[in-house]
Amino acid sequence: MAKIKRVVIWASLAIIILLAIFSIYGAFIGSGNASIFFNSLPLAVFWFIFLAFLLLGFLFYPRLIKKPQLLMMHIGCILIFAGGLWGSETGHELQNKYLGKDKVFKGSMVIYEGQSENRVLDKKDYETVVKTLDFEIRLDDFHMDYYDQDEESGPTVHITSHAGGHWDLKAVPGEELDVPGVGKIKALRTFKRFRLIITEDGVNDAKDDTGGSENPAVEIEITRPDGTSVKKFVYLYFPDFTKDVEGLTLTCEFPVQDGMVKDYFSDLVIVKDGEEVLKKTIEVNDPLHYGGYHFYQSSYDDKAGAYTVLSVTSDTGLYFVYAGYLLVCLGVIWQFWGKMILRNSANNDVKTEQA
Amino acid sequence: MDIKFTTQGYLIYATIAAYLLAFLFSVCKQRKFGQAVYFLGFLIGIASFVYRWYHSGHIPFQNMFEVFLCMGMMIYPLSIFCRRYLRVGGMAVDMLLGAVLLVPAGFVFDAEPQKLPPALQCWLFVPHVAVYLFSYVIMAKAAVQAASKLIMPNAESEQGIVDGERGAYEMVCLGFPLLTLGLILGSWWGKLAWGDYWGWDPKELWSLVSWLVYLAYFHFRFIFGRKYPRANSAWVLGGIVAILITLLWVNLSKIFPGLHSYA
Repeated sequence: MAKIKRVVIWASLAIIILLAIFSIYGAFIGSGNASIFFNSLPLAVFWFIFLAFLLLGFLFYPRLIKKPQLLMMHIGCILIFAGGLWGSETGHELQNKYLGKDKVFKGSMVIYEGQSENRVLDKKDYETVVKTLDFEIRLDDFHMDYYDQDEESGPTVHITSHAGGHWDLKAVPGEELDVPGVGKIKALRTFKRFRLIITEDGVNDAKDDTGGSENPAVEIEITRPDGTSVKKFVYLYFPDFTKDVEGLTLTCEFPVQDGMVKDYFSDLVIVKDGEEVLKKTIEVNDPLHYGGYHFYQSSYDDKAGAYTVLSVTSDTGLYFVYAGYLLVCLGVIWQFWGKMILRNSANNDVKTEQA
Repeated sequence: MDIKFTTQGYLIYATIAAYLLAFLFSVCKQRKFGQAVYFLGFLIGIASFVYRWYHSGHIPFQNMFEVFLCMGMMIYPLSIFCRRYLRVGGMAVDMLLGAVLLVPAGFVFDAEPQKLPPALQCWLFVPHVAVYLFSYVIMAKAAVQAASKLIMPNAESEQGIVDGERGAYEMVCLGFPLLTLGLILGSWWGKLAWGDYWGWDPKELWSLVSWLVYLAYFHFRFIFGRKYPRANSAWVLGGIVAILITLLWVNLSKIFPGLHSYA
């Protein structure tokens, strides 16, 4: 019996060391190849040996059962392992084949603003439909938050005369420069999501539409030498609109660092059997959970903000993994800190008695 | 080597100077002066951390500069706690360790504040990074204890202070729950941010390696106890090597591109 116990504990140590070696190898080959490696058949054998020795530990070391903290740590590891297997790609394939389930492991969804979608696409090509959900997701709005523009890295209006002269106007409201032969050019407003509106008086105006697509623009005013003035909008994406203004070509530039994206949001609605059952605004770190899947804010249309890209992941096995995490944490804290706290309390009691 | 002629830089250099002066006082048997200057260094370290927090607009845990700045500040409370409650000595060496931890912040890494990208705007950002940084400092102290056992195996400990092998064990017992918590919080955050609680990313795998080395240490010590103190010390030193690779090589080398590259 003692011999078998020694074999079990030595094998457990060897398995831990082997897992560390495999992990080092996996770190060098990159996450894609590491995923394939750790899900391969030889490693599947390793995982089962790992699980077997965790269970054998309970058989030959009653301490693991008698001491709650050790029990929690080891059961936690088993739960993490079991949840990981159950929720893996292979686990999904086996469940679909033998248990009649119809769940996809992972995928993506591309949804345009104002439209609904129920097709989950293959993450590799964004074309192959891997699953049609029994509900739809509608994207009501996609919008982004930006960090405040910094004066030193703000947009610039480039002014070129047909005679070859060139000037740069910093697009800070009130900033002005003199263009010989033309007049004074002043920056009035900048927009990140320019949208033309018609006021109640029937006058054309513009606003920064926080819910709209990205459309950077600068409003300028040209004051001629005779005192008359004209206002123009210079668009980042439509430079042709200001190819010939008072004999000048006007373009604008918004630096890459300007208006760095702070966060991006998708206003989603779950529609099932024609009824809206759930509404949620998702962002990075705050996914939507419905119908056995999590939907993550993954990417977006970086040109016009017209569509959002969601990453779809099955929740199979997840709660086993979370339960395992909780048990491991509690067990580890109890085992290592609990002992310390008790020992210090005992020392304090002794000191008090001696005093 | 890049000297920072800024308020932030001066605060870091003042902290380093205080730690080194404290170390010199301690080595010259002026313990009380040493501890007073060590405490002063800690206060300057806090000021440096708070200054960075104010100027970056977020808690300074985002990049390598901020990580080392924070770790340099954590050493003092750890020293006091270990001496008082765990009977683990080595306070003089901790002063030196604190100075060493601040050198990358003071002379190597860029101090330009960066805005937080969307992926880092999560409530788990602070606890995940904080527990990891604290565990790294604890394991670094454990490594010093283990190294002292290897270098001076027969050295006698101070009255009421445990020897190097026991000291290393106590430190690893203190730091291992934090290392575990850091790993699990990171996994949870990965699930919230990217949909994967485990993506086989190099950073994740090296973090797992660090954890496994200490796990193996505990199993080895369970088998042999204190029979082979040098082997026990070697495990602890192996652990700090894995941590250094996780913290430095993975973040800085092009060999390991992954989702954690912004760190």
